Amino acid sequence: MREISIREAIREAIDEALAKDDSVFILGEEVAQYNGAYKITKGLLEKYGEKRVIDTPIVEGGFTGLAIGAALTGLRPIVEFMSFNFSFVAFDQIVSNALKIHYMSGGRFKVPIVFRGPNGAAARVSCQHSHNVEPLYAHLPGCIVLAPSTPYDSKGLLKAAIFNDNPVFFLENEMIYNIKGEVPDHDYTVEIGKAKVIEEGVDLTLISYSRMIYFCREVVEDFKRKGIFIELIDLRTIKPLDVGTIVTSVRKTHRAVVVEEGHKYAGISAEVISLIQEFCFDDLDAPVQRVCQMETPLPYSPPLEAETIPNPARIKKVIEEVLIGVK
Amino acid sequence: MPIIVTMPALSPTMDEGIITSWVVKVGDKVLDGSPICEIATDKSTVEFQAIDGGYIRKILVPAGKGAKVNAPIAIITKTLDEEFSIPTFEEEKKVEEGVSANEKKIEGEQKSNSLNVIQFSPVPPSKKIRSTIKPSVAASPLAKKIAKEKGLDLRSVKGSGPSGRIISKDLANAPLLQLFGGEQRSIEFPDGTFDEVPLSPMRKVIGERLQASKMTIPHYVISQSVEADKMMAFRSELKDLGIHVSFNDCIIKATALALQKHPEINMGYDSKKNVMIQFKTVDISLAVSIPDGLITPILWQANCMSLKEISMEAKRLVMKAKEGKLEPFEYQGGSFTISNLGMFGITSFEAVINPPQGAILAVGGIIETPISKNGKIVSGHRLNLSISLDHRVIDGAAGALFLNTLKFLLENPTSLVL
Amino acid sequence: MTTEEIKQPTLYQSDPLAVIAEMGMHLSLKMLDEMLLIRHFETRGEQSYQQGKVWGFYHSYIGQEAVQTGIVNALGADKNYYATTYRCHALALLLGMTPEEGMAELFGKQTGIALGRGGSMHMYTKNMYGGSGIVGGQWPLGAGLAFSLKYRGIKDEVAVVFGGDGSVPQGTFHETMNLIKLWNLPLIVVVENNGISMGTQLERTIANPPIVENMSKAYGIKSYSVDGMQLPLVYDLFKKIKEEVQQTCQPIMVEVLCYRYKGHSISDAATYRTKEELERIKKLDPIESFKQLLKNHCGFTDQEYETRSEVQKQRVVKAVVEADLAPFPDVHTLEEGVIIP
Repeated sequence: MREISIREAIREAIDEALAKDDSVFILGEEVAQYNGAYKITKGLLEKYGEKRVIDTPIVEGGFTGLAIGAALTGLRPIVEFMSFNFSFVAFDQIVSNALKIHYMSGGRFKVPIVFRGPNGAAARVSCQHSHNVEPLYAHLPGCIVLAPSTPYDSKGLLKAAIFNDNPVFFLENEMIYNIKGEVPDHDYTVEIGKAKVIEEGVDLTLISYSRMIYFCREVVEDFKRKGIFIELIDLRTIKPLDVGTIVTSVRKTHRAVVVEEGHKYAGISAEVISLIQEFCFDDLDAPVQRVCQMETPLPYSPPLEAETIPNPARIKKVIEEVLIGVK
Repeated sequence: MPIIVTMPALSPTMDEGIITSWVVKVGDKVLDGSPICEIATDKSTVEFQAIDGGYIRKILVPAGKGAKVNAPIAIITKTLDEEFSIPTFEEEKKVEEGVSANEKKIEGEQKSNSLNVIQFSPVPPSKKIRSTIKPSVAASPLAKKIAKEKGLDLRSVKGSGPSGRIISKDLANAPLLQLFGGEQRSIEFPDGTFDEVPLSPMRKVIGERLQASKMTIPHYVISQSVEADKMMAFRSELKDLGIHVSFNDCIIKATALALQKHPEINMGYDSKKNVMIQFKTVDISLAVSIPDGLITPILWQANCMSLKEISMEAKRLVMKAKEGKLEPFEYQGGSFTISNLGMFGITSFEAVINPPQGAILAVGGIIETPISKNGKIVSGHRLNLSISLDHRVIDGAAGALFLNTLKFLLENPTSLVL
Repeated sequence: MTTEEIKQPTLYQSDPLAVIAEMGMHLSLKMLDEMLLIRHFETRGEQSYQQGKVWGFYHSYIGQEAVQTGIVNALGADKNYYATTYRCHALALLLGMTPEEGMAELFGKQTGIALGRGGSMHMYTKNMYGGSGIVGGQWPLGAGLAFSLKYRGIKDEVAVVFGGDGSVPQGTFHETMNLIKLWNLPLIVVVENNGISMGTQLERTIANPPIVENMSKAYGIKSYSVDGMQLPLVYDLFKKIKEEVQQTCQPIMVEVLCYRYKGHSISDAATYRTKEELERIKKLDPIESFKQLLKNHCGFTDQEYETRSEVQKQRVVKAVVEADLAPFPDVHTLEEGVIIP
């Protein structure tokens, strides 16, 4: 085992994939000579050359469509969006082509493409650079959506994604690129579609993913000191959801709270909660609550930003409401 | 093969088009793709071309007229002499259905001046769902599930959840739910909710017969109270001798003897021929309750059977009736019916005549009651008999005399051993 | 500006008779048959639409047959990569789709080329990557096909992407032209200029015609323009272009001038064309003019033409009958094939 950062873990995944299979290549803005806007692809151009690590002009629609065309012929492109906010410029190519051609062609062609890049709020980058895109893409059939929170999961899931035959959205978060964690030395992947119980508990189930996991961890520790034991689930895969793990936990604890960085309306927590009430209705001792980003574009000013996205204080407050009467 | 040119759908929303003009006439030769007419749609007027060329042989819809999409508008054949027939299009069904309705109306108006026989249906359930008198108990789904599984009464539990919601933890000392009383008004059922239960074949027969009986027979009832003490002693004595007869067996025997003495009661009415019937044999039908209805097995010539024989035969018939194994000759017919609700402790009741019979005897239970004897009140047992009679056949005086004979026989049960 | 006043490009010239001589009768008749098949297929497809058996949108290729027939025969149908717009029935037929598979797809039946899931606008074959519903959505996809050839070092095949004059203003066109020149991708960009995008005349959509002749200069891409109603010219030009692309590994842009007879799609009453103009266009019918060439110079007769036309017509008639009888997809298969397990 070694300790590496999420950034390094992602890089290793891409590196190993490029080494393993000639049909894998990565393209995007600044991925080659600049070594990546967030240094994810550092050193890869040197190692694999400009045929496999390709700098593009700033032309999201163009290079996304190009990558999709290449994927149709059997190659395995990794498309880096410098930030997922820019994927909107390529929205038509993604939605009308990547997510549709497999089904629309009667199964004739596959689209084994990975779209990856930082997602969600960063450090005061304001309204246009802070979107959480997962509800928008996960809403559409025909794709897989991943959002790991640790180096181990990042490396394992990205490798699984690259060699999966479906279009995959691999959502990273700039604010956690530096977080370190252990990864094994041997070759491994993480199974797509499996959530993980990262803290066991009995009083309440707390469900989240990506950067928010770290806020949730803080809150869980807090409650432990008061004798309340919260079970924390890291979704890791947003679509398809691991309904089994979620349901098993809620049937045990009878209470649940979902935390997501994105907005409330039609967000991922809405989907999770809908499933919980469908499968665990008789086991619920309280309504399921969610903690989400407020219904505003994300403002620039630091205290405003800190308030609009979920934070430990807001999460704690909601959990307390759900626990009224218990202890 | 003739080519049937049909009205095209020139836009996704078009149902029907009008042919504004024909640019060809019958006998003209047209090439593939040459125009044949102009069609006005809901949106515009367009030129319509023949897909396959040939000779125009018939124009089915003239200029200025419309046709529905896919209706035939013209016929083209490859050669001038090829035969063709005119296709039909399925529009014409609607006319025929209106005719017979009128005919039925006329028949109904010829009925008499008497009051109509009205029919009855229940009032539909209220649309309003009443709010509960007490507010419904707020409890989490889990608490409700546990309460249901353990039979706990949520109404007396204090909730510690928000706004007093009962949570699972609160059920630790909840009392058990009692069986009666305080039924929560069901949210499912508004006032007056009902189900419809279709008639089974048996219920239909029973219903039709008894409805006809009550509607057409002028029923009247005569009642008589019988002192039952001697009959009770009589039966007790027989029991000591190892002979088991029921009160009903005694009543059957007594009735048979009474009918023998009063043949004017052993009568019926034939409503098809409008004649009275004088039964020559005393055949007593017994009303037996079976699942979903009742049936009347018959003791043929009961007046010729001993008490013991009556007892055995009655038992046999009742058992067969309850098993549903009676044959038609065992229950079709009879001259007089006895119906007994005494086993339920009923004081008295009036039964419905079983046509074409003319009378039916309703027997109540033996009730311990104060009796007036020689000016003194003593405790004794009484039994009520009510006989329903068809006034077309049997008059009151005859009925009264019969009933008195029956009373005498039951109050002097030794007569039954004959 | 009227249609006449729009600046026309310099057209590729070639001797049609010499081309036909080089093609030979066998290939010439094959291409005639293919154009006839497309013509009959589109005619009866539209008729089926009007009978309520085909729904949604129907974009007919009638009038443009010579374009894709010439191109596919010049480049080769069983290799190369092709992608086009929603006006895709012709290309699919040329690239291996049978009339049965095509008609069944239009009828939404399970025997359709895309199992009934795509419909008129989304047809695919072994080397045809759609059929694309969004105007301009196919340009970058075409670049990806060329990219793949180059990436894998395949030198004897090319990628071809088709689009109408209506899809040129779309941003994806610019993005694609820039990329293919920047990266030297073996892509042939074919702009089928039929003078109209949906209902809007060229002079109201393109700021600086001629389209390809002018725009290619901005990207430094070599270009050609050709009269798309003349099959031999199209064939000859594209044979030349294929060699150039393979040798230079540079993209080429081509504007093919053509006309479509019918409205943009069926719902269109084509009121934007005058009757006189429609008559004029009909005289340029590519099938008719090719037939005349063969008649006048190769001893081809009207009788032979009728016979051949009838054969292709019967193929389509049979396909319609089969499509009528074919079953719809079982609803239980609805959710299959969304995600590959």
